[in-house]
Amino acid sequence: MTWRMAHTACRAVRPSSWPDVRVACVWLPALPLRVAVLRRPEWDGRPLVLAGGGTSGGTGTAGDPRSVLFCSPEAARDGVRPGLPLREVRALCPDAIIVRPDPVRVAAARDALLDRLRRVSPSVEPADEDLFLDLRGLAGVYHDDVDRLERAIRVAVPAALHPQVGLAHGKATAAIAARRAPPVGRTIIRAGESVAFLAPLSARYLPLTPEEIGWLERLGLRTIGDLARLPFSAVQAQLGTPGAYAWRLAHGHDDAPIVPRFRERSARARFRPDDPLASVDAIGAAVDRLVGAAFAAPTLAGHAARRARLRALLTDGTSWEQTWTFKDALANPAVARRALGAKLALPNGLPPAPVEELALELLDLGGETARQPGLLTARARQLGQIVEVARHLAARYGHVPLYRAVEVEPWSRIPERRWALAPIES
Amino acid sequence: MVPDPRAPLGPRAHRVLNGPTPILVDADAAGRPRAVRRIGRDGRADWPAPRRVERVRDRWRIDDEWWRERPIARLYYALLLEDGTFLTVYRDLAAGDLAPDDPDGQPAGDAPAADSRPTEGAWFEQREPATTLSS
Repeated sequence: MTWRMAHTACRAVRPSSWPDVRVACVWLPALPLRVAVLRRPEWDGRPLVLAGGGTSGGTGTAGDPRSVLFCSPEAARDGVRPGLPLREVRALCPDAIIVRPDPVRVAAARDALLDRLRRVSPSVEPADEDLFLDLRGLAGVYHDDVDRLERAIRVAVPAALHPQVGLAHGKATAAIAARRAPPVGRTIIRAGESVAFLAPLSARYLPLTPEEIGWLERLGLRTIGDLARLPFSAVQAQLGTPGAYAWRLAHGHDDAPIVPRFRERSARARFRPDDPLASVDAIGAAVDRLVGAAFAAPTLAGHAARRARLRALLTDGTSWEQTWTFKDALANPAVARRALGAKLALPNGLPPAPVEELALELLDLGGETARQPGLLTARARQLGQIVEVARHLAARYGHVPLYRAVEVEPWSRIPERRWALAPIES
Repeated sequence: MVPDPRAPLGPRAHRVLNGPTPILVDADAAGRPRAVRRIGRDGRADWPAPRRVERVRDRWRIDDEWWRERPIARLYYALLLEDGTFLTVYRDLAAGDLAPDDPDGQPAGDAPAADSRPTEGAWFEQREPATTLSS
């Protein structure tokens, strides 16, 4: 009690002094919608609805293209909710603006935010709508003044993205604090305060699936405090590892480490044609050109890439992104052109609209591997590769026109009886 | 007669490897090949002109499966052609009209001795067994 009183007194004197926290969470609600607002400021405050579709990858653009992926608070007030068919949006909210997925611009915005937040803290972990900053050891940098820290965060994150900031001893508590934070300012939950802070909050804040939340609510467990009052063994038995984690969180144990994501080494090339690329051949030629430019980058000297990402800005204002991981590393331009050409030739392998700008990024760079086969293992490996090819052919064409020679009657005097061609089983 | 127990060939069934293919053979009166001409899959001649047989390297006969409805009786010739090609051909003695009675494959009875027309259907080329292929 003595410490508590002293602590409170200290806060009264220096309200912005450095609190006993380890993590800052910057929550960016509905980031794809806010990125759209950055491009079209006149949409700010209007009911916005993001349609599903496009590609995933942390950019919030997966899901059914005919339904709502998520919406702005203005649209939610009129009854629009995630999963609603788009055709019903107009009836509920006539002024709603349907925003199409724009994964490339959203990813670029996230990358830019990460770069800027790394100037606030050297260790930043992106996770869905949250960005976690490791605050350990930073008190001196910000002169023990949490106001300076918040100012640095708000300088790094544009206000139009509506960031909300929460500080706590652990990641999950900081994330919940950010969601409870005011638009300007921050919520600080010190180490000893997390149990009292979490107890009255809805169980929906817990990192559980909607089914698990529903199960809790059916049992009348509506707040985090309700869950905390249950025995640990009962929660773990019913909800497994996520339940155990939620129970520990409810009891103030929130010690998951921050896993920073550092900038990946990659070779990039960008091409913006004078006229939009509308034909398959034109896109293929542009990709060939990008491959040549990417392999000319010094980053790729003596290296090979295992992953390639192709991003396109489209004439309809949206964007398109595909990332492929290759079994064999792309060690030279010819191999890369062939591999990318094969991917683009697949169904839905091309952008759905004419391309204004195309960017290629080669990732997972590693040392160039030799291809010398082993003396005794080469044949087994070849057979494995053939079986793999057979599997692909069977999946694509329904039958496998590949055979292997098998001994049938090696003792026969009739030559054609000694061997037969057996189909390779996929 | 023992019926053939093999199931009909289907897309997933085993296929014959090194099966015999018809070939045009110009034989002399004794039935020995003098010139040969390969036939393509479309039934037309694969080689632009017949190739003369330089030497008959070997000759042997196979009789087998006499208990089946279609017994096997073949007279094989291992040939060296004028261009250096090695070829193994056989005459299907069980095919009918050219089947001789004697084991050396001589024409039977009063068969025309000077019949040197290219004969199709009764002659087959037998590719070498793919002994270098293994499963």
